[in-house]
Amino acid sequence: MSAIEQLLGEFVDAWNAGQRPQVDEYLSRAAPEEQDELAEQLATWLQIAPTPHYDEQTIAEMAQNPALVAAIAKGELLQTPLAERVLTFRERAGLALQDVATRLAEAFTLPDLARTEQYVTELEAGEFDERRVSQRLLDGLASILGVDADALTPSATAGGQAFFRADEDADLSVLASLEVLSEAAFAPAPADAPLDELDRLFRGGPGA
Amino acid sequence: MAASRDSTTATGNDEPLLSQFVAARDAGNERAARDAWYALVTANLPRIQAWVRIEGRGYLSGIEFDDAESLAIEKIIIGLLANFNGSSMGEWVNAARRAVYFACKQTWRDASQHTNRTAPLHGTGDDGEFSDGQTAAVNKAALNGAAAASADELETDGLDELRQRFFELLPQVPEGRREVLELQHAGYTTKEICARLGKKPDAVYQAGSRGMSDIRRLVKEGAA
Repeated sequence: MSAIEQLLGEFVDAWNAGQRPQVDEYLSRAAPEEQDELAEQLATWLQIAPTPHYDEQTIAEMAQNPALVAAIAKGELLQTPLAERVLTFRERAGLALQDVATRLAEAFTLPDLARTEQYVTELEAGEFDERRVSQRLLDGLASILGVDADALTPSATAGGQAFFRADEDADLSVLASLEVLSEAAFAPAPADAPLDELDRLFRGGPGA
Repeated sequence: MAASRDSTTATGNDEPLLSQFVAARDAGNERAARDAWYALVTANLPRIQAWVRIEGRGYLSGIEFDDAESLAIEKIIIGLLANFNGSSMGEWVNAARRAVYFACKQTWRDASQHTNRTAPLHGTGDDGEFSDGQTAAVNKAALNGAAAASADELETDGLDELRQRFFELLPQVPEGRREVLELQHAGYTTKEICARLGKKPDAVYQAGSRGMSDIRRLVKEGAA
């Protein structure tokens, strides 16, 4: 029996016992020239291994994993319409609507503060198609509101998009949020006459 | 720790969670689908973490592993949830492993852009630092090439088929190895397998490992 066979067997035992064995620990116990082979064997096991029946305490511990908690929070957040998120973040930041408008006007050199304020009001009221809001505006708003830019990504259901699309192949190279942006790029632009900078920011499309 | 082993199945607690998700998804019950999905990902967190450590070997270092893990989890929680149209754990495992693969590559690319470090895609030293010899731009191009080839890489490593064909191929594994592999797959510990088969631990380790190699070889041969 080789050392790799023993290490693999011990890993399998620990896995089946629900002990959540650490790959690094097992690899470090193998000779450097044998680590690739052990990694391949571990990958094989991970591919076929059923998930152990973890007890409630272990499940609860895993559910507290910070990356998992953050991902779920982000996923839930992206279900909320952009309008609601902007309002929530603005109130959380302790900013008045006029404050946000003023900062936006400064950031984008917008000449008409009253109109800017009106647009922000309409954004929070959900009167803009969030797929048509420019990424520049979202980035600027995120900065003003003190949130991560991802937090203002158009919602996964923006524009009535079905959340589950069983008729399409899974493509993991893009996140759902990015797909929304992609769809937005092809969404029809407003038929109105020429857009000024304020219009471009609020309804010119993601790339405007 | 594991609460108990269900020796009558080899599905662990994956299948019920996935079934819940699929039923809710197909019924349009988004809230229930999300909750089932989160539970499924939570139960598979150790698998995801282990995948990141294996996939990132050689080109991720230090905190990049943590970043890759976070990104992989996010891709699975958000991206895969929106796109997964399968109904079996084999499909789920394959899709999740792809998410991990792309998360590792993306993490490496992002880190390279921020640090402008020189870095071969493989070949980190023992200290985890990259050796010189390639500029970041060259490495970026190399990574892009690797990304382009990634689909092939994932298709040909044989792992995608492994889970789906495991029981189909098992009869082709020599008996002594097959018995051990079946019991390991059913959640039995080495001690229990020893007791059942009258073998010593060393023999169980050896048979299990070689049985796994057999299965992988059979998949590769079948794909060839």
